[in-house]
Amino acid sequence: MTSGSFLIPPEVLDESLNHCGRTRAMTIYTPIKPWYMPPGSALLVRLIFWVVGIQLRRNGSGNIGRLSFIHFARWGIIRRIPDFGQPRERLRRPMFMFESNYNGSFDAYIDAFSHILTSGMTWFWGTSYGFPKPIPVTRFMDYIHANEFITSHYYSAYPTASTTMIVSALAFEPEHEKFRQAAASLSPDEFAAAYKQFLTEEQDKL
Amino acid sequence: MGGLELNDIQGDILRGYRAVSGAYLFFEVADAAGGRALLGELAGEVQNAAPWKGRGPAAAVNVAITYDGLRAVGVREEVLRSLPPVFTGPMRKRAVEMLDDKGLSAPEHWDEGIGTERSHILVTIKALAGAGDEQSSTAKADEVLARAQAHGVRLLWQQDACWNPTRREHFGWADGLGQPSIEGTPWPSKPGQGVPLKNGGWRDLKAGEFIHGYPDEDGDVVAGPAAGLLRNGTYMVYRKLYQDIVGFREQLYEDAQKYGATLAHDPPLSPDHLYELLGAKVVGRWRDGHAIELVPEHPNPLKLGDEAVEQPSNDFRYLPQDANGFTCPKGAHIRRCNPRDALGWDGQMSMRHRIIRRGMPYGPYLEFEPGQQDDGVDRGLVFIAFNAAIDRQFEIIQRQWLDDGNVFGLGNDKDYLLGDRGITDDGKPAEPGPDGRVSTGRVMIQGSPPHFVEARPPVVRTKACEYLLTPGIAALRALAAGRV
Amino acid sequence: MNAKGNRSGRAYAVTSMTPIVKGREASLLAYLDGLTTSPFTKFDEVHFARWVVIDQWKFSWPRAPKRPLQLKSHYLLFSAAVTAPDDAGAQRLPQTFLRRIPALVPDVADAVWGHCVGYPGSGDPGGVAAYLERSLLSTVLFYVGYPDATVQDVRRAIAVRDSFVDFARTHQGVTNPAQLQQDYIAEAATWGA
Repeated sequence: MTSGSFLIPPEVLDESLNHCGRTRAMTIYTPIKPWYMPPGSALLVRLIFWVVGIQLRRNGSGNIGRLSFIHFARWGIIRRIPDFGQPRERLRRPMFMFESNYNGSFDAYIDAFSHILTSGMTWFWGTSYGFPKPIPVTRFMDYIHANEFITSHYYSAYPTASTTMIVSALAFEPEHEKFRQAAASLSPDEFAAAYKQFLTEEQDKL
Repeated sequence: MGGLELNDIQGDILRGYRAVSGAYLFFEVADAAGGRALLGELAGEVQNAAPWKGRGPAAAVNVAITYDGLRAVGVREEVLRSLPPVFTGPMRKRAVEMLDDKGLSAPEHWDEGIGTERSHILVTIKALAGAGDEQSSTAKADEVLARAQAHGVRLLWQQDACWNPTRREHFGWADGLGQPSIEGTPWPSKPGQGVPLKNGGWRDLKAGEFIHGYPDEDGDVVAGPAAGLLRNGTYMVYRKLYQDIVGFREQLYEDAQKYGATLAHDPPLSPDHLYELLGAKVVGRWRDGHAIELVPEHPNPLKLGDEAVEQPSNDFRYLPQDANGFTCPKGAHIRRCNPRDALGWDGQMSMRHRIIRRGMPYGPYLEFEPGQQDDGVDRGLVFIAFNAAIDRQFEIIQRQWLDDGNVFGLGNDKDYLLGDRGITDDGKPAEPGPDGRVSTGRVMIQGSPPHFVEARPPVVRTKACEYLLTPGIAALRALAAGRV
Repeated sequence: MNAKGNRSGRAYAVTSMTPIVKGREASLLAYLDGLTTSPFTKFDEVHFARWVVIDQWKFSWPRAPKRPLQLKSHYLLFSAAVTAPDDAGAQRLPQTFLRRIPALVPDVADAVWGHCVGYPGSGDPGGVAAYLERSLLSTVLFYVGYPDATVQDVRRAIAVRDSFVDFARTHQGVTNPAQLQQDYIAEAATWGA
């Protein structure tokens, strides 16, 4: 019996309604308040993104990395909608777009958003209309739900793998390879001792 | 900030009562007027949370109502619509989807009527210590039954329960320890029950996490059309759990000997000692109640069947000294149910997911005897939890912390006590659930070296589940008067 | 389009927005609803992908602007997180990925984007790639939980870890060191292959 097995083919899982296996999709558009976006520039919002981006880019050590529940996330500003000859859209104010692939129930991780990522959340969504503040959480959740879109098709290449499992496995693999390479050249007793030590040292990744 | 309005809050939420036995009576309301009349009579004798003078009553009565019950007694649509979906949705459907109640735990095996739209009112009767014994709860139950009958309210199910003399649940563990300490209650808080502080101390949890109408940890207070109905009340989870005691003891004994082989103690630990040790590792407490985090090696491991420790210390946290789980494994039952600071950020990831537990075992206690057979008697735990938000509190614990191990870095590992529903009764992996997860096949005990206990099919089965509202007493009167 | 914001190491955030032909939204939703096998299984560079139909900006919440923006058309949002196996490959994103769409899944591409204004059809694969490229939105910030790992890296690492845990669990009772070593060397050689 395989343990955990993460490689259930994606096609057998329910791919609508914002989740695929363990992973959930979030897609949010909110309108940015005009004074953050003087016409023709993305000035203040870009500054905010840059500052918070530095925080985020410390992927492992920053709070988002340590919380370990987001696979991929992106933030964008939409100032014009791609034109293919459809009736012209006038975006009087730009839209802020957030999209994420994450694990865990929204209820559990809303605590993370609100209590731990508070300053980041306030910086980002504070530029949007109607943003209530990350705490109290229920109002923030209502705001997210009010601005959220549901996916019509959601695919994950590894639906049963959480971010934590993936990060652990990626860290484990090179250590294991070192151990495996050395294994054949040890005597049986040396191997047994080395195996026990390896298991002990790596157990947090298993 | 003022204290809590203890006269208006029902007592079973905030107090354990030191009950010796109890009865849970589920009723079906036939017509709204009859239902309201019964509620009116019950409101007059419901036990509140105020400290009592002298010895207290012989039996305590408390009342809870399901969503269908609220509808049945004629609560207005506007109020009903504003209640949260976790409470208003059909219970049996939710149990399958959210609580993984499938196979032998599936609703088709449940007690008749519980979790259906016929289940309306729950009257809980507890006989208190020193009051004489079971007769008190039986006498009171008979009285309530007669009253209900007079108002055309039908008994759906009666569930009796009682503590054994050593106050243990049926697997043999002292239970009911580790309740949250709540701001505004008049009795002193014990260290370790609240939110861990950086200086090593603890603070109480905000009352709103457990009682509606007071600010919670987010500073939020219930509002909207249902605010009056909810004030001084809370949500209740009723969950009847059958326990296969002989099966559990056999499996723990077997697993313990294998654990002994990994430990390779010199001289080897006796089989009974290993049983107690592995038991302490998978639960997080020794059977007498001492937390393994505080007592890594018990001085009397072969005497844990005697009296349970009255007030074991709960003043412990897991970080930084036990981040690796070598003392109390990361997947131990109490560490899963209340991670304290183990999820990081000084307990901020745990503090909004606490519950009050007021359950009681049902069925006669089965004494330990080597080689015993299952006697076919129905016994287990009537699990009762109180929380302000069922989906944020009870369900998070059940789904994210017990049915899953990912937040603890344990992948799909499940709690040893509840067992792994990903394994069928003949030891094979079950069909993956809708989210595709399959069993890891193991329960990991961290250590040097780590030990892998084989995952087993569940020894605990759900026999009934219900989500209810335990209203404040004024709200109960308002319901009775048709004013909600 | 700010290509720099769309990248993080070898990963690229592809986000595309295309207008849906008036009256064809229901048909598109029905098609997507009926897709039981994801076309993205064919793309080993894709970690996650989604199709979202944007019918209208949402403005029903308190404190929403009084004169809300209104979209005149419905839009199809397509978003994918892709990682290239090397720096050279990363430089060629997103174009290489966009070209693979009409090449690998022409029928699905036509069935989905055929509902959108201006879609040339997979008979013109270069045209499809150009169409999608024109529809890309820029990303200002892209967070990647496991930088530079490709889908293959992730699957292989997980398979190795799983296999090792299974081995450790099933060989717990093996007391003979030579047996343990022999078993390990034989089995470990097959992991992650």
